[in-house]
Amino acid sequence: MFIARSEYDRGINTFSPEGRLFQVEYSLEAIKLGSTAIGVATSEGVILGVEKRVTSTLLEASSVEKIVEIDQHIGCAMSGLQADARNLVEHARVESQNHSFHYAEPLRVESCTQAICDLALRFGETGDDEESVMSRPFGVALLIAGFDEDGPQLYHAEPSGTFYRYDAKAIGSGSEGAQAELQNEYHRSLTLAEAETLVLKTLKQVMEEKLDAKNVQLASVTKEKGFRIHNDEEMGRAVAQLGGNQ
Amino acid sequence: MTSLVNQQPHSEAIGYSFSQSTHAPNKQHSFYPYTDNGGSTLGITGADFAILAGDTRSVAGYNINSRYAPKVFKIGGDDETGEGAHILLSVVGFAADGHALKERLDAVVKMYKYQHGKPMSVRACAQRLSTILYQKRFFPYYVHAILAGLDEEGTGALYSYDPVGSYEREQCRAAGSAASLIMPFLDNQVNFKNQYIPGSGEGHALEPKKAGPLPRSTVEQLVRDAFTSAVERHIEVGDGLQMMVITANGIEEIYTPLKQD
Repeated sequence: MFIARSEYDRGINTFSPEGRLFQVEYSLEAIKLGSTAIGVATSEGVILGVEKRVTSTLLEASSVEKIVEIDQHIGCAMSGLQADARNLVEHARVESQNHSFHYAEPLRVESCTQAICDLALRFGETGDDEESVMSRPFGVALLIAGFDEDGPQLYHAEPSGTFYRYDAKAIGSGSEGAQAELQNEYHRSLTLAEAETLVLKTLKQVMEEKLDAKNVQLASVTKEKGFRIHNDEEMGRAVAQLGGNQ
Repeated sequence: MTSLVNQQPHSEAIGYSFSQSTHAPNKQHSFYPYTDNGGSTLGITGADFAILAGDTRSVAGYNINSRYAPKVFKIGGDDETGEGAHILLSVVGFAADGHALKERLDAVVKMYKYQHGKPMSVRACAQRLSTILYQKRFFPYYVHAILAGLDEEGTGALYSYDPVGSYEREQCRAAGSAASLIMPFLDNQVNFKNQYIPGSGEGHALEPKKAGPLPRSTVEQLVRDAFTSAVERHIEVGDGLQMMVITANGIEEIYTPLKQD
């Protein structure tokens, strides 16, 4: 299979005769190696959840950052190459700050996602007047959660530069199983607390390690509090409640 | 602003940057890129509307360039007639800068709609205009701008600017060469300054008359009166009065002639 592709999978901006961009497709493969991340949107807000993959008992779990803030009203969860995500997140933060500087209003979640995808596609040979950005596609997918005048929203952004809005979405290594679970369990009248349980329950099913308060991370975006990462106490409570339910 | 623009290096100049004597033994080269094109603008808001008006005369010194050079523009419209716009901009001072500023803001408002999928609010446009002006802090757009529209609640909104982007939301504002003539009139007639309720008390106990939003017909008449008076006392103001009224139903443009002397 790889031998057949060898002619066209080197040049990042070269189409194969079948009309495919192999490097972009490979970058999607990189995401499937990443840890699972899940987002669920409700009418009250959005919940993001990630598995942290604490590979060693000597590893400081709090140093694994897979959910980050973009602005007060937008946050994102990532799966794939974390270092690549930092570029995208930094870009989104600058876009968001620029927007509120120029327009005295928060950036819309869709516009923020669009800005990230604009950068995601800016790879390959750079023009003369263009500053060089990335030589390859980004190896990371993002779940972007936010709240604006259209209410709570969840977007999925890929290295290919495409994005879609979802009610519930899973990315990363356990995404297939998790997505099927979300498909079964999701309904429009979900509360924020129920969504939190759904995220944890789904993560628990697809994780290889046993789920505890240290190897998962939750965050929420609501109208009242904006983007918030759950602290240790809240994580402990959420995980304990999950154990009690089952 | 008038006094600033008039401080030109050559006395016989009437406002053109290229008029200078050629027979001087040691020629001093100078470049003055600004001209004062005179005229005045005025904006007043009400409970559900905003009016932005300006005279249509354009001058350079004692010369009249045009008797119909509009100073009030629709921003972010769908075509060249401005159809579909929901923001108004008036510019007075240096007409070329005013025109450049209007074109730029118009492009920004249109791009915003494409990028964010919603029309720009007047508040957002007001902040954007401020940053546009400040970006040229050291070679400013030589204009007094006034921005008008309806806010999120549907009440009239008016923002006035200095040439480098300082801005404030106000009930009314006059700008341009006759601003010093019109503004005190507005203070008295719109904000009821120095007006008291007759018989409400003696001396300091006399109650000031409370200001509130005025009906549209009253405001339109105030604008006409302000300009007919300004025409009598200022040579740079005259020819025509262009009024734009923005309501929830859209923008209405009213033109009435003024004295041409």
